[in-house]
Amino acid sequence: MELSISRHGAVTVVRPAEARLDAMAAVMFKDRMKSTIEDAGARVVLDLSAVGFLDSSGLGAVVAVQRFLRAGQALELAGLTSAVERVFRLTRMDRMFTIHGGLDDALRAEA
Amino acid sequence: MMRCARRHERHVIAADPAAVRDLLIRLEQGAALAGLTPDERDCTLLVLGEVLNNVVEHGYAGAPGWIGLMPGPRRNGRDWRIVDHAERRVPEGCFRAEMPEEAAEGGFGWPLIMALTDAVATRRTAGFNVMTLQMRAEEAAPAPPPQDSMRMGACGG
Repeated sequence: MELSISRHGAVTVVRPAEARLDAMAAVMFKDRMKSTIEDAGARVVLDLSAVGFLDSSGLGAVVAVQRFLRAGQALELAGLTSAVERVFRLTRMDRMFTIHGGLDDALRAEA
Repeated sequence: MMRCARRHERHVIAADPAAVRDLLIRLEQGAALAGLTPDERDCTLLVLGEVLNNVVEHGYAGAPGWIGLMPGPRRNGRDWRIVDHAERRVPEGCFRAEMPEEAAEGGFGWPLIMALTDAVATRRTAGFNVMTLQMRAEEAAPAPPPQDSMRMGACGG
């Protein structure tokens, strides 16, 4: 599970390079996100626009990433595809995150 | 015209997450789901992935094994049968599992399966676990339910 990481001022954008965040990728995704967050600023935006498949393991991994946040850090989501958005909506985990329509929206948003 | 699954389509895979992933990719590109809407196809792939990975993780629990997947009798892309030889079968409580109320790192699988299907049944026959499931049709999805309802009309975009 390769992650593409870029800095935009105080915002760290993380973009999974693979299209599937599933049971096979979940553990590695969590590990990579943990090390990424250690070096990140106050806002971490997870850009999921390239992810077309997310299962319950992938969802659990995204939720778990919140445990790695320092005080004052926030994890936000952007670019959810319809299949990924459905999983967040059905599980009500969409209420647990700030979700932006796209990365541009996330970068324009205030912390 | 709806394209149907091949008459004798069946898949047998090793019980591991990589094989599950490969099978889902093949199904996504194959004929079995070609008659479904994109939302129905996404939901079907999600449910099959949840069921198959559940067999891997909890049925075989790390032990080697195999899982068979084949279309159900109606072969409409929404009916499926999953067979395995794991010693453990799906606990009855899974069918009543509720969606976690707060941020959780697990426990979503079975509630998702139940939210996206009209019928799920399991039986143990001659040492084999046989699960049949019927996906919810998009056109049959009810109006948006109360937010605390488990059986949501899920497959609409």
